Amino acid sequence: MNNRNDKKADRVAATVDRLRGFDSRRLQCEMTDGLAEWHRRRAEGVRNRRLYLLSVAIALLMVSCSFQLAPTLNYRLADGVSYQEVEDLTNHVLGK
Amino acid sequence: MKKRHYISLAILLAGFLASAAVLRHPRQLPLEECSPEYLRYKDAPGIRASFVKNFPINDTLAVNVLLLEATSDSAFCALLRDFGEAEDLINLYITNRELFVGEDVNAIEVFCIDKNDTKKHLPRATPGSRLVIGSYKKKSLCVFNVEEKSIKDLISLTHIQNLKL
Repeated sequence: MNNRNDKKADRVAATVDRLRGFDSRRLQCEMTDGLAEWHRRRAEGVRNRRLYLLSVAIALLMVSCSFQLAPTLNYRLADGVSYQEVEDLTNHVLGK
Repeated sequence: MKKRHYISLAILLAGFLASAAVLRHPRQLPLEECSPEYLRYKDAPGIRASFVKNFPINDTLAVNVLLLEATSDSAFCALLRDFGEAEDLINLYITNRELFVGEDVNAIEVFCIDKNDTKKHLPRATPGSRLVIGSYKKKSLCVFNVEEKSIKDLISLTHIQNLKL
């Protein structure tokens, strides 16, 4: 019991000591620095997000363009056969 | 360079690689759009099956064509049997090849088959029949996926017009 009371008394004494050394100007400076740091980090986060969004948009644009550019084939060939061979052979069969 | 620049570069690189993969990947005709005969022969040993959608026959006509190319004589004979060719004719081809293939000889077969049973030969005018033209020289058969008699006539006419007599 005495031990607990001693600890409580120590904490109170420490708080009183801190309050005695209270420097309002220093606290204000620390708060201002903290706020500036918070704003700086926030702005950096926004910049990062914008950069990532731009990168993702460009990447998606590239993929969609390649889908548009890739030729849609209208044939299915046997392994090792080119379309030209099939065309030539069919034309041969047709007598061309 | 900062970390964010590396991340955005990685995203762009991934996009570039995905685009390259899309461009390089062969975009084949889906199997659903191929003919049942193609599905039957696409993995058959000794036969190279290719299906072309809207193959141009002439300036105005384009039809779906299945090309079956045999890689050996035995595979070609099996293919002819599958398409209802008479056994006597196949035996004649095996024993007297010079009658079918030579410098001045290029035997061609033209017939129509039932679309549900390739062994069954049908008259050209029969609805549901498909035109087949075969070349002994190239050991190949062309199945034209057309059902209208007028188009079959046009293809045959094109074929006849092109024959070098």
